[in-house]
Amino acid sequence: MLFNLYKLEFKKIQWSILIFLILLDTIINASLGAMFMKSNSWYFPPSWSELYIQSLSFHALFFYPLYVGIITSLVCFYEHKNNAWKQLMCLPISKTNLYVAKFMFITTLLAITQLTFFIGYFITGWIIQPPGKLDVINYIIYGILGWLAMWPLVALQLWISQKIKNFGRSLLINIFLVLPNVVVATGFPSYIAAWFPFSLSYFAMYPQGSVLSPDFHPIFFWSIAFFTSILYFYIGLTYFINRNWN
Amino acid sequence: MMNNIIETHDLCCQFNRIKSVDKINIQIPEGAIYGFLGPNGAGKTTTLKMLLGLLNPSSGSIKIFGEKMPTNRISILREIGSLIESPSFYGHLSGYKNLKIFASIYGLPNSAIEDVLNIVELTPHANRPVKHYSFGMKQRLGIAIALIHKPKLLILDEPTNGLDPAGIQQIRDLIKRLPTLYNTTVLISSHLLSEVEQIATHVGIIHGGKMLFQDAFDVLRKQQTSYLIIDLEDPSKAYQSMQKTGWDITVNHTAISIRLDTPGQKTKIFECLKNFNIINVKEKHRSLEDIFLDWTGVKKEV
Repeated sequence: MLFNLYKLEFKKIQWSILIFLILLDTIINASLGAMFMKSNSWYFPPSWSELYIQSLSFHALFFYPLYVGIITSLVCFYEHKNNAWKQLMCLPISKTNLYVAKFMFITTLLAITQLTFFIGYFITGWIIQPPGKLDVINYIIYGILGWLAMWPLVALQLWISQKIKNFGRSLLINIFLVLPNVVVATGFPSYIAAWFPFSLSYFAMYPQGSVLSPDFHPIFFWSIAFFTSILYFYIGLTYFINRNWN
Repeated sequence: MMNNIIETHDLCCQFNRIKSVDKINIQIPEGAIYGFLGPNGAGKTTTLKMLLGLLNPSSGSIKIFGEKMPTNRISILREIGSLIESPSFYGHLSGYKNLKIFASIYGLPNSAIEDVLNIVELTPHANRPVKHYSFGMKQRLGIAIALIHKPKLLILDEPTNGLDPAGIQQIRDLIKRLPTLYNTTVLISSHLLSEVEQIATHVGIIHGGKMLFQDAFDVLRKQQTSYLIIDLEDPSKAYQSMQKTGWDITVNHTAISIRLDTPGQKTKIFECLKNFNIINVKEKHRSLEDIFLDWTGVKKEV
């Protein structure tokens, strides 16, 4: 049943919008990465890892957390439009399964986004051929960690998105919340910033050991991420199960 | 003895201290077409939403197919088809794809989609996006979704609201066929007596959140009566003499009013009144519409 509901989400979504968003993220960040690497080459000598850091910043600070909000709103949008929630709730499906299916679907789309971002990075690197070695395994790990780090935000957004019916309003709120990320993620140590779920993927994806690396404490960071994921998911699910569908 | 498909006990729903449904006891026998009748805002939709588990009752209990709602929500909903308020769809998908979504939730084969498209006569439009459908087509697609799994119970909230006469007729015919087609019990809400009168076997009348009447439709029909209003010179004397012979009679200072059960009674009445000076005779019919208005509308305004 859960898997069935998960499959249904694939049928409902408008893939054209989604593919556009994912390609936008990939192309912008790959180009910015290449550009910044070139313009900063006097301070930071070009390399595969320098290209990664330059591409990553805008992706992890802005696009990726913003996309969590957009994708979550989009996944709930079809139910808000025309009040299809009501119709779904009249079907013999478990509310928990429906909620979990949506959560799984959102994380799947985010995994695709992340994968495409890295493919974009590899292709850019292959074109400009920066000096140095490419450590693929490392980047796979960064990709997975950056994806996992967005789960608390997914849980939070799913809680919020079931309430906000208007897609435009939801988008606006997200942009406003993502903007302070530049300050929070780059200015605060991870054990404070981790409470602000928009900032998590930046910490998880940024390689340690460089001059500009964020102040990262893995144990605190991942504990907070884990705890907030469970907390937001639980609150959202409980609200979802008990609410009235007018 | 027929089983009740739906039974509620003192069902209440309260929002911010306002009781929109107040101790409703619904009983719907198997195979019935139950017309749930009441003016707008009477609490019909709220009641239906509680039956479907969309709203939580503030008190009271619901049993559907003998099982408790919402405790056994999923197994109950498996046997129910419903259309509440306006139908809701994924507008960017075709009618067929919308039905496909529901078919896969119920685990039904594609043939079920084609069957139900035929029943609501949407087969020619199955591949168009739903956002380009007319209102009547959307309504029929909504009914198709409600019917796709051949439910034991169908709950429709004002299904003909906003349709043109041809559309109304189409849906009415469809609903009438259902009990024989799938052995479905139907619960249909409406604010129009004429609507319910044409299809319902049972009726519940709700007003201000309270159930005013509930029984077989024929019982309601019996309430419609004719009265003979006779102006007399001395109505009280006529009243006394008529009362002795057992007529259902009321009196005021100018006239007596006698209930007629059959038209043939008129001659007998005139026979009894031959010794009195009759000034005028009027016949007044109290129709179902009058009864309904008496119960729900006019009373409140007076």
